[in-house]
Amino acid sequence: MIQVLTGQPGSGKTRYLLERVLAWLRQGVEFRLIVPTNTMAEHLRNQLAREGFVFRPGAIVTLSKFLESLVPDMPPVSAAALELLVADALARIPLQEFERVRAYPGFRKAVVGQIQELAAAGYSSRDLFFDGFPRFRTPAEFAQIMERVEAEVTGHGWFFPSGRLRRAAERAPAIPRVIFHGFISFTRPELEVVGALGKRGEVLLSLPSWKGAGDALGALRRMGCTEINRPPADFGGDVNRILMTPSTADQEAEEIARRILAERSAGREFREIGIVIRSEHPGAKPLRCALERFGIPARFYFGEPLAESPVTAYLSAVVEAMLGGWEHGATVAALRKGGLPDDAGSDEFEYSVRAGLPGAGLPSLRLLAKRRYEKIFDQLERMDAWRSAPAPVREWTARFGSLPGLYPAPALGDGATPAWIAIWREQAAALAKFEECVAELGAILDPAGTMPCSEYWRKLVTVLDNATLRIPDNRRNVVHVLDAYEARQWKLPVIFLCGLLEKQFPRHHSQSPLLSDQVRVKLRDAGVVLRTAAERHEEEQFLFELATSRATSTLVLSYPILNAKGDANLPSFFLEKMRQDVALSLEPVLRCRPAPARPLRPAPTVTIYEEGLRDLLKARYASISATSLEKFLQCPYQFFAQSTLKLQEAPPAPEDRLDHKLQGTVAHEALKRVYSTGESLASAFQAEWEEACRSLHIPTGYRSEAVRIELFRNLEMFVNGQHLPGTTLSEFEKEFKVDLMEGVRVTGRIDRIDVDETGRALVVDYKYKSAQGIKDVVKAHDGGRLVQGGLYLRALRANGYQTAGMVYAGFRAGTEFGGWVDGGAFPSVDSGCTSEALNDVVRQAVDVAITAIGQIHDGRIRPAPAEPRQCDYCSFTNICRVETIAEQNGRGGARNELERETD
Amino acid sequence: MSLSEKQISAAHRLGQDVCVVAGPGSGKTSVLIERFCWLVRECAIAPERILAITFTEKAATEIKQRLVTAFLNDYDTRERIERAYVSTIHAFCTRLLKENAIAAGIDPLFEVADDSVSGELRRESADEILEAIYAENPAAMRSFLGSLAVGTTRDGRIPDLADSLIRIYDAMRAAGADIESAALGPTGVDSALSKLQDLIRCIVSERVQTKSPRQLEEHGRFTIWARRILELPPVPTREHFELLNAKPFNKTFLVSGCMLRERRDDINDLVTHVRGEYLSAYYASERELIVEVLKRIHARFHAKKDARSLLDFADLETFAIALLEGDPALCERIRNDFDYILMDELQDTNPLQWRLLDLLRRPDRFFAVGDINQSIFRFRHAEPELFRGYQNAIQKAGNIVDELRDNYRSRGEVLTLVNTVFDGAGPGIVPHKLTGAREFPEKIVPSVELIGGIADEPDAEIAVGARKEALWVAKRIAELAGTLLIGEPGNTRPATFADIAILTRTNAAMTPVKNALEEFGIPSILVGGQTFFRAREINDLILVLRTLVNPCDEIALAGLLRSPFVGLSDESLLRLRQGDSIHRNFARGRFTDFETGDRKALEVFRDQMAELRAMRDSISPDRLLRRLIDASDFESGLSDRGRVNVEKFLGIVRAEFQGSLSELVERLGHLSPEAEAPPSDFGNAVRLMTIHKSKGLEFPIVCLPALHKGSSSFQPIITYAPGIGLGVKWRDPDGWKGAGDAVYGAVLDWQKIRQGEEDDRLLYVAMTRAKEHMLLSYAKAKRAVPKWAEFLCEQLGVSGGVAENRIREHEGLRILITNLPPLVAPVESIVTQENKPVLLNPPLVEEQFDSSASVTSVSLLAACPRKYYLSRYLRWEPRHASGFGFPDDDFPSADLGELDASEFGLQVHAVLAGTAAPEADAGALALAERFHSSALGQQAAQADRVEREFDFVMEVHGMVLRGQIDLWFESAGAVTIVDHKTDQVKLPVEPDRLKAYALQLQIYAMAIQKMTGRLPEAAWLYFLRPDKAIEVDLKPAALAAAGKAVLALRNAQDSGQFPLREGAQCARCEFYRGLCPAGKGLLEGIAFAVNQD
Ligand code: SF4
Repeated sequence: MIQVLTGQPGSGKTRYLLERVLAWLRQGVEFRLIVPTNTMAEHLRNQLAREGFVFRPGAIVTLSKFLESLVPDMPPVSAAALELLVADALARIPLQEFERVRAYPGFRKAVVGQIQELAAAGYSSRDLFFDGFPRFRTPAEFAQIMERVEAEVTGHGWFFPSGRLRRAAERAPAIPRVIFHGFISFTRPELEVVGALGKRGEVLLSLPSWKGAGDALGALRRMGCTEINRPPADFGGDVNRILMTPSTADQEAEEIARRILAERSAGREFREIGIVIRSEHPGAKPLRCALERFGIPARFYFGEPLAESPVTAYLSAVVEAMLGGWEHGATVAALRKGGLPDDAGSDEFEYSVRAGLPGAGLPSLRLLAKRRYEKIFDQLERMDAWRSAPAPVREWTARFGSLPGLYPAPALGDGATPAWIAIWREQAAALAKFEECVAELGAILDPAGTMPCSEYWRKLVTVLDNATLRIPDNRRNVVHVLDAYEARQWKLPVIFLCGLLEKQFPRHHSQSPLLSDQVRVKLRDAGVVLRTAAERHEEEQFLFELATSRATSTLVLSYPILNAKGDANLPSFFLEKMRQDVALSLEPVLRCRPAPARPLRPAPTVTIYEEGLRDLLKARYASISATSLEKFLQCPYQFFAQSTLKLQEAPPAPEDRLDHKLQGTVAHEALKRVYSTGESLASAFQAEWEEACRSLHIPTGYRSEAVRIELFRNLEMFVNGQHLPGTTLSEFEKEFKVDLMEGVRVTGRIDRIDVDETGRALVVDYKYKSAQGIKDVVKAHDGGRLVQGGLYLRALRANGYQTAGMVYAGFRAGTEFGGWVDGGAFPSVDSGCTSEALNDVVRQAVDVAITAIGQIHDGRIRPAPAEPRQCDYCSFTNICRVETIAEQNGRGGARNELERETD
Repeated sequence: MSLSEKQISAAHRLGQDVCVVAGPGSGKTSVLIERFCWLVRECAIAPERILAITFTEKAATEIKQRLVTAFLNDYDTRERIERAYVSTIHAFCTRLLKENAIAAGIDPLFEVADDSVSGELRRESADEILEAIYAENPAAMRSFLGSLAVGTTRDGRIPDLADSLIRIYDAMRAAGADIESAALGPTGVDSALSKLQDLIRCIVSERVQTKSPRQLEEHGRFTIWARRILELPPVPTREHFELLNAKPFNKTFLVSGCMLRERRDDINDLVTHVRGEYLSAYYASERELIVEVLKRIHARFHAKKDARSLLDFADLETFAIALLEGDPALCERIRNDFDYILMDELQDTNPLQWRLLDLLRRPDRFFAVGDINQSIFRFRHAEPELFRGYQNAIQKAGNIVDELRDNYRSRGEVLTLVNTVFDGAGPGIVPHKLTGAREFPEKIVPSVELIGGIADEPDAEIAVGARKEALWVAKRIAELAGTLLIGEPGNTRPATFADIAILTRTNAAMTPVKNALEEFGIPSILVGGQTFFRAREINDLILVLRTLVNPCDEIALAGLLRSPFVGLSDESLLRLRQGDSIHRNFARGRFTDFETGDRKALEVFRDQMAELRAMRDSISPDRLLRRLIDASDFESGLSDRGRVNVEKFLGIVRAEFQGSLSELVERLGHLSPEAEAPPSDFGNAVRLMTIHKSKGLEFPIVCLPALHKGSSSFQPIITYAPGIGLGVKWRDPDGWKGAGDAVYGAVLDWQKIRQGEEDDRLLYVAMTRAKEHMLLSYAKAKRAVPKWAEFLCEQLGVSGGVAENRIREHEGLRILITNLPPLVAPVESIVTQENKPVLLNPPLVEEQFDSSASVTSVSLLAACPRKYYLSRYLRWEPRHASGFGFPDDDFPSADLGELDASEFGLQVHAVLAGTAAPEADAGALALAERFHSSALGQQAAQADRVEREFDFVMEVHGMVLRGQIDLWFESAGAVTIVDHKTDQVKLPVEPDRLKAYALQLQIYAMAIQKMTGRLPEAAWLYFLRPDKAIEVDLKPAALAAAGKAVLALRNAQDSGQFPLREGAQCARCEFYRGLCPAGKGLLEGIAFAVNQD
């Protein structure tokens, strides 16, 4: 006998059925309660146990467990197996329509999904070959693929759900009382089981009233069921319905957290509260973050893709690195995902590897590790053999099955926070699942079949991609975060239903690319009933009704007003409709955040006051180079960060190593060789260039070539131009030290000194700068923001030279000289400067240098860029926080002030 | 708003394609919505059979929302509007392609790559191809690089060749051009050369009246040159260029009136052209290389997208077109899916989109609104000519074009100004007189103001003038706010800062005004812009992520230490550098000689970072960051905008994180610039935005400063224009200076004209945003040429170049042209009410135990809490801690010969339960037989009721326990429980082990009692191997103790405490010396004992 209990969502079907079950338990009647999901079975079992009953857990089972007990000899085909079979079929069968798309993973998935949809509804490819089968090429080719896949499935001894259900119907045991509960509809094969059970006992089904259940209800009626109809619950009820409209998704989550805390302090238990979202994405992550922040224990009823687990990411990265020949960048990146400890040694190892890129192979990497990580390298070396030769599947299974051992186990101490417990559980689950996947693939493939590692790995990736992790969390007193499907089985005092936006709830369903709605309509005429996009939309409406009927005391609905871009969102039309039928009270959203563990620290001062530290600075800068001094004059903070703290930067990628500075160095060295030894520019440049590229591991490519050609052309123009005066004596790279006053020593190196017949010396400083650049340098020197020129002259004088002047020789895109040269001495670079003026240049530079050194010793480090644009190219903006200094000083900051000055 | 007759007649026009030319403020969206509603209501068209295309996502949402409101009471229709096609063209293409993926030949699960992803892939493709070509043929690449006029820029960077190539590649795609034909350029050198030769012949043949030897000499020089030109061989060599670069005469020495002097410009022009043409010929193979590179970039880019199943925006259009063009039947079907197509902002359409629309529209069913004068998206390849073409076609067919000129937005004076300025302005603007249609209150002051900041100091740069201008603008804003009355007639109010918008051509042009506003203390807020990733708080968060990835990045570490997260002083930073590098000293964590506050902060922070680092790849980065943000009270130091920026950033990292923090940090570096998040409350602040951003918006008061700024004069080395071709700036072989080939100049000219037109329209759009009041301003320096400013002053008849330093009125204009800065008097500070957040303390969290547990868990915990914790609570397998242990050569053979212990146990139990497979292990059968023949076994065989493998659930102390009883039987009302043990035990059984086993039986007894109402008489542990039965104590005290064991499990879970129980049993534990720390510590003695075991 079959009875069907129908009614709207929230009409009390669950209560009715549970009362039946309780009565049977009391009477000791044998029964089976069959539900769709594990969580629901678990939930009901616990609920009944808490009523004081002791009973067999098998009395409450999922449909799949129930089937398992009836057809243990018919293993179901897994999604991964199906996908591999589909891939195989697509590769083998000659296809016209699918020719262009057969290699796409998305297409493969679409085919798998379509086969699963048909199979679940009880159809096989045969059902698609009938007279009048829609004469479109797409479904026809699909049917061919499906037929092939079915044959393979059978060949492997697997079964589709419909086959298992049919056999189960044949084997249906005599159970006096069976309840099917929590299903929103039934497929044809499921109904066959229902019918069979109904013949041998009493079957009671609950079926919500909605359009999508119509076919099932019709079929049940044809089976001669009797109907019990629950009247619709009165929608007004005593449920308090609230609407809130926070501005963003994050604020929505925060507001939910705030309200949960309010409920909690009013005595509500966490377990009485549920949060419902249409589906895990995009709502779950903001919720996870918010609940954790506010210390609210919560259980998320979502599986996680195995592929996204850090364990899989690590193991996959190692395998990929191995297949890629242990390219150093990829290998070290892989190892950092788990193989290396998180300590300073590993951090430095990573940087040393990156600084040495490009590189490949384990032995050279091992050298860089300097005898550390021996164990892991041993392990990797054992893997190295994998990529050399094909091996039988059996071997791959054994090898990959042992791969989880590569993952270093964490120290699993007790007293850990829930976040750590979750992480460790996830790791354990992922390791176990990885092994399962390897075993699963082993069962799918012919164990004696031989293939190379890469091929096996591709297949294993397919299996891994199909696997979902269920991370155990069985805590009772937690807030439940559920999707709309899971929520259908729950009734809780307080429910938050959030993310009520168009395209989120309802989700929009597009037509299947394989069996379009047009085809589906035709198929329906032939008795093959598959849902169209419009029918799936109806399910969305039904899910919404379900979700809104889950609360027994308070229902809080919400949606964020703005999207991530800050534009207005479109609220769910379902919500609009609901608002017409029932009153929702609009409640405000309050800004909130967790009370901080400590108050915000005030902004730190930016001067070195402490005597001890100043002494350090004095000692450190008892002698200072002219170049460093200029750095200080450019910006004291930049100097502090770069010269005093000597902060280390991340190693640049090979292609970024060829920077401006390096180009300048190569040019300097080449010029030195040309002028001091008379070597030809071509050979001097080439030698220097190659040396620079070699020592910095700069790969030769079009970019380095572009730079090389440009630099060489510039040097060529400079050297061929021969604008420099003919001299009797030239010195190159001359080091000097000069004491400006007691305790103030400046050092430096002069690129070149030319001395004429009369013994007057000219300082030449090469700069890889354009004409404008040279003008700017001279201007800055005149403005007291640079000192090199004056100090070099001063140094020469101190060393007994008779100085004629100093020029900067720029050689970018043409040659340019700029500086201060005494009239008549070196006519080609004469700047018409008087010796008095030259003295002023020296005097000013010395004064500026003395003041600057004094400031350095006094711990002056305040950010003060000499030019506002300088900060745009400075690496230390994030340390000096130049713009916040501004705020501390009142309106307008260091940079603003400067901008104003230069405006 | 009710619609005017004109609007209605446009909305209701049938029987022809409709073109609504809708001026600014003419209510075009309302007309479009009216048409939609009217078609549904009056013409009974189903909403899903109308395709409405908008330019932006935002506009689509707005239209959908308005449609929903229009059908508020008609649920059926409203529901269908949900599914109606109201979307951007890209969303429409996405839907079309998803549903027809197979016919389109694309992955059905494709995703749309946004500009930043697609840009990244394009970039990679271009770099890879250039590298590949270099690797294949270094010589060719070298000569190519040497031939291009790439020079290093001032900051030392090489102009980006890949970038130039990508630019033209994009332009070609948007034009729907195929690379080969698009790149076709001039091939011969005939046209310009023959013209030059003709001219030269002409000049040479002229009889010159020479007077002086010098003149004679010049003519002689020219004649020699001319002869060489006339004899130029066709294939260009370096000499050709030498000749063309030579200055063949000096005009100053020529007689005025002589032909050579008169036609010198023509000669120069022709020489440039000839040079261009020779360059094309000279560099023909390099040019071919460009085409090859482009083709290969296209292929590589395509392959990259394909491998990731991505389509970018241009693909959406091209694939949709290809789909429809390639399958006429499908095209027909889709065309028939829509009765009407409504198109918003037609002027912003690009050629590809238009081609697509052409495929979709049925005759006389297309309705488009737009305004060619507001086409300002050329940089997105919009082609306003398409609108013009559509309009012309309608007129040509003798149909009506609807023109909406009534302006419902702006005050008459504003419109008059617009009409005056753009009267006959140039080709960019179609003359289109705007008529005011809205009532405004009386106003005595002029509604339009002009401010000029003049920098007339010697050598002054334009910035000096700009600063004066900006200060005056700020001052004027301060005056207008609070005094200028705005609103409806009879309902006016003083304007506030929030009523004012400042619009500029670029974000950069905003800086002087922004600074001036700050000086005056006027609150302002940037709408849009690209400053998000430069915002302080965002950088601080990125520093956290960088440091988590690798603290050796000391720039990040030091920045983070100085940020509010730690707030370390520079003194401490310096101290941290003593003796070793900062990161090592930080890792070491000895901060003893530091100032107390800094020390504490460092200690806390170091621990936090260690914890966060350990979980960095395991939890999503928003959660990592939130922990730090909340703990350090970071948010309390942020403005409202800073707070929403943080939220936006967390959203971005959440979306971008794919399981690896280091990859995330890398990806963040590649994201395109973003606008800062809109604050939840704009408050009383002046809005700053670019004109592009202001499109579609309106404001009571609009300021247009920096009108002297022109558009960027960037000249790429490779250019392209549809219809003209590909132009390149080569190195002139003679002297290596840069020189454009023949196409290059033509493309630049073309672009200049187009840019000029677009500039006009941009100004038009800017000016038509103002409702009631407009403030125009500019700066002028001696050297600088003002752009819009000059044009405006000209059109308005104002001479704007000389400072007057007084306010005057001229034809309704308030004018101030000045070279003096104003006095800066900050406005009274406006206290914005700080919306203080509620600070919430964490709740009391109790009862965190599991809702259910197994009986074996209870006994496991009793035996060793840590073992329970590792194996059951965390579910770690001991083998996962044992390292990577696959054998090298020989792999485990399939049969182990002997069953392992647990499998054996299962078989014995199965035999005992009668469920064993027929081929059960002989040993298992033998053990089972032992029990059967025992006294207990005999009793069971004769019992009234026997239950084997009896599972149950039962609640004890709030926990639901699951258990399975091996055997219980009832004889004469008395129940006996038996539990079989198959493990190897030595007799006597160790008390601890016995106790744990007994516990299970005691709980079973409780279950039986609860179920049957009677306590079992006896419970037996049956050790099969030694064949020994041991009775278990079921006395009340024992059962109470069992209950306590359940409670202990509950409490352990609740408190999270699972201590070790080190002892002899460790020897049997698989976790020993693996996941369990036992034996590694103090208890060496035990460890030793265990090893001996
Ligand atoms: S960003 Fe600017 S202020 Fe800061 S250190 Fe660099 S140059 Fe100095």
